[in-house]
Amino acid sequence: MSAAGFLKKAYTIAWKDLSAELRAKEMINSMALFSLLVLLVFSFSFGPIFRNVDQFGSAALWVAITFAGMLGLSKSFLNEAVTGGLHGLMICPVDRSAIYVGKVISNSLLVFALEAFTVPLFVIFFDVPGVPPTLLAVLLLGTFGFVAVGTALSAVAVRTRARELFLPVLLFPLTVPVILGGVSATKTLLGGGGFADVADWVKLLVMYDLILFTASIATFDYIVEE
Amino acid sequence: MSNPLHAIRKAKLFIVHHDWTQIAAAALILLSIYLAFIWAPPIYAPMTSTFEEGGSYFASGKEEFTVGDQTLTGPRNIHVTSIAETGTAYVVTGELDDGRVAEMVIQKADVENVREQQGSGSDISSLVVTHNIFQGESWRIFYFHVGISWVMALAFFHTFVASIAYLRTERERWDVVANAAAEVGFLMATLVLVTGAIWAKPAWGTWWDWDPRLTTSLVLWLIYGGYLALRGEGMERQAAVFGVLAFASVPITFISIRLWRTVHPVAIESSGANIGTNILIAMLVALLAMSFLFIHVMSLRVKLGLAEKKVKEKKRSIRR
Repeated sequence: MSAAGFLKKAYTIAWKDLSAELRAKEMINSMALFSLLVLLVFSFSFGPIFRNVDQFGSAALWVAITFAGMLGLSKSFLNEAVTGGLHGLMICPVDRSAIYVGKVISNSLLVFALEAFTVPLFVIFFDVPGVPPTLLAVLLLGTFGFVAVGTALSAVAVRTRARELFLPVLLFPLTVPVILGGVSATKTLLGGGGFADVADWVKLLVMYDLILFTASIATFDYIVEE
Repeated sequence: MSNPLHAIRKAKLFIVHHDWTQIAAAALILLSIYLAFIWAPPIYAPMTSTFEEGGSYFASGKEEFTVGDQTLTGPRNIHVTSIAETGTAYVVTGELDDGRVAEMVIQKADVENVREQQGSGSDISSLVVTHNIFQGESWRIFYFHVGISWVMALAFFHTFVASIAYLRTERERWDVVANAAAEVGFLMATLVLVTGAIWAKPAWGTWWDWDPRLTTSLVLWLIYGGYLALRGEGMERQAAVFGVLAFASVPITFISIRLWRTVHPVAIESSGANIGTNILIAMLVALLAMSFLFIHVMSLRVKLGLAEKKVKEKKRSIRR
């Protein structure tokens, strides 16, 4: 199969997910509200006392994004399993890894949309002087790693008896390097650091993203197989 | 009677009929206990942490030092700038990480005590800089701490390899091996955290610190706890996939002390060992002992796992 054909199939699957989501707006609404709540709680408890955004802001931002992202990820395969959509996907004449890549694309876009909503709120509530473009790059890298692992584990968690409740148990420890790297890099960037100061963290993020994305592509076949 | 062939045959029978990994593990553990507690020279703190390089001193929780008019304890990093002498004590002056000037008084008697046990020739500044003189004999747990963490990595590597083998071959045996190794690794990860905390209390003055090495070790423990929770009837393939993905964190834990600034000591660096020859030998024996323990426990657990599978099959066939 050619690479273009593979990507086209993945894109089709991603589009299927996104159009369903655009119609129902089931996930993005609850994700956005949840991230707003997290930011409010953080801002309420730390905001008035500590104005230094780099100390608490980075943690608040990442908690808001990862917790809200978790909501979306846990639904990603649950809906398919409940409605029987997974069986439909399985009999599609596509490579199983195309299903995975498609889901990663749609989930990533969903979380990017969430970030487009969360980051401006973050700027408002935490009185952030400015968002450097490097910070956006760090957010994209961290999100991609989080979603890449989360999508694979979402398919694993759906098979367990506890279903989506099992996802955080598997996902959070495994994405600690991503969250750690993201939080630390954000902290430095908000404190006025440049790209050179966070280069090590960015390297870690890229490495981890690549390793887990390829490992997930290689093993996804086995997760969904009956 | 004294036929040499007969003796060889007897020895052969002994080896065949005894579980030699068990014997080797027991003997080596006894030997390493002897080496660690009796044979290895009783110097303090055989290792330096990266903090201590370049003239800085890592204060444990026991030393009191003053900053301005405050008296502080607790693990701190002091960059030594000068050492003065008074009648019965040395006064060490240095900077904390945040730039405040700290002063610490070390009794001469304590220093003499260390110097006596370490041999003559070490001057006060090298003692202060490279040796945390208040941790006492607690450092000896390091032989077992290092051995256990080595077995932990070995076990998780077995889970990783056996998971790949299971996904490729679908043979139940590999699933049993992956599960057994994860259980052993999880137990060892628990022991790593416990032995580390036991040492950290006297050496750093705190049981726990959110240091990169400690954090990544705890994360490993959580990941493989998740793996064991995931295992269950019909989840073999999913567990194997998780076993593959989970291994990405193991190398990160092991390079974490080299990657980030950490208070965790580094015993072996690419530039060589930070420890004396005797201690290195005792450590290698401890590693070997723990490796044999691993082989023995693994073989027991795999046998047990295979027996469990057999019993399940028999039960199923009886029900039909």
